[in-house]
Amino acid sequence: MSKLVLNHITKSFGNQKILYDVTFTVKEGEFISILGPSGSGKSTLFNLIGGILLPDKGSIQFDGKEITGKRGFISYMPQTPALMSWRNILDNVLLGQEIARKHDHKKAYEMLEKAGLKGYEKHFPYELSGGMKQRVSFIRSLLSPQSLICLDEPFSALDEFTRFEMQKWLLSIWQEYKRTILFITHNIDEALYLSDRIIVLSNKPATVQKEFIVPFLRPRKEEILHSTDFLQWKKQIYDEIKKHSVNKH
Amino acid sequence: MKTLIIKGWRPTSVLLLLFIIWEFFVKIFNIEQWLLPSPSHIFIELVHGTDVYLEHLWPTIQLCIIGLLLGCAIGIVTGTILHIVPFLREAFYPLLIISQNIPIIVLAPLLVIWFGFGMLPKIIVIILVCFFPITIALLDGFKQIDRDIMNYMKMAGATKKQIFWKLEWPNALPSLFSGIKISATYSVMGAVISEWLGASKGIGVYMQLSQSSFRTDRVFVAIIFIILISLLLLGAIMMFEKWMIRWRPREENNRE
Repeated sequence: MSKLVLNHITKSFGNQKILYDVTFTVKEGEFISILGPSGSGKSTLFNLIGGILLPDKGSIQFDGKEITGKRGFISYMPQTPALMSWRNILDNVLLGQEIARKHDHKKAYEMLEKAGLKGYEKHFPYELSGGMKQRVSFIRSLLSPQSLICLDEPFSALDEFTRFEMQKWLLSIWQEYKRTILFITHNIDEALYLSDRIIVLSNKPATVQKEFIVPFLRPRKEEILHSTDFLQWKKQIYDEIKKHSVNKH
Repeated sequence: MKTLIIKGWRPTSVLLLLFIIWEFFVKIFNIEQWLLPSPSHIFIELVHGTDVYLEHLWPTIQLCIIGLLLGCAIGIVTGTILHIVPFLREAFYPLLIISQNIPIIVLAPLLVIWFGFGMLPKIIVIILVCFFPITIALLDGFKQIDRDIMNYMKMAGATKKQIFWKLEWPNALPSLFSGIKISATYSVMGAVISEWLGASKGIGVYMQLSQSSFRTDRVFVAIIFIILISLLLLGAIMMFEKWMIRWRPREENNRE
């Protein structure tokens, strides 16, 4: 069943067309990456799905219901950890539940433990490293009652080593808790390694250029990153992106 | 206490050095007492003149505390209302800034004409000097919000009330406290100025009486007490701040 459907979404700011006729669907339990260059309107797409912005044309459906311009259906994880500096880690991860007025402290403790953050429940964000904060931010999205999680380049600010650790961790957590995930990234490796499907967005205005179904079986081992298969896929996607930008300039 | 010694020894020694130079300057050039008393002379007055100035302290302290508390309350309420109702902010914000250009020393006599010589005009003077830094600081704090957290809250379906209490208010607290600290020092100044206009007791009265009788040493004693009251208020506010805001790294860890 389709969890999320975007129908012909078009959005401009002033004279600048940001999104043009964006259409795709996300199935329940799927991990989808949206790949595109920075500044191609990917974040605008999330603001539309999250109901903060209204599209000029088109509609968005969630679980078969129209949600264009409505809020409260997705759980968002931004680029920065965006934790509240005045709340301790436990209260930070409980924020989503608090907004929806549902409380499940037991699960919060359990998830923090799985993320290697046991003992940090009462610490404040400034005491944590960048990777730890990002994990807290992700747990906050997971604990929110919404079933669709939208991640906006969550690992782009991390160093290479931490990023890879975080990707592995994200995969293991996702396999256990099976949520529907929409993942924005500009990193081809990341998209290939993590997702079931990759939607390539073109630049200015962004529109769906091509969709790739990633064939790698789950659970994925890190060795696949170095397989010839993986490199070939990477080349194919890279060529697709390049083809478009060559046409444009 | 240890940090107080570590941080305080430099300014203290500069101050001591200044007093020594001052003392010698007065002695060597034989300067008249009424023109510039020596630090030792001021100190003697501070110790022996207690029955002259002691009765003047409490009224001023009382005035400061009441004025500052009311100023805080009004400043916080004004800031919050202006934040919540954008129309009011657009209408009143420029007026608020213009109002601060009216010198308080000009306004104070008018207040005496309107409200007499009692507590009321004095407290109004203090409120007028206090609420502005607080309102501005609070509005600033409300504005400086991480866009990512705001987007998270909105997308999760948070109501305006939830966004205010869970995000905007705690986010503005550090900024609010900077405003309150500025206001605290203003409040003492406001109290003294308002007492010049007509009061029977208070540091402002003591200062004026001393000045008109050429007891310059007593003017300096008054200055010492104005500084002390400011520091006490500031200290109390900083303690309250430390208790309210416990999520920031302790300053000692940041020292080079």
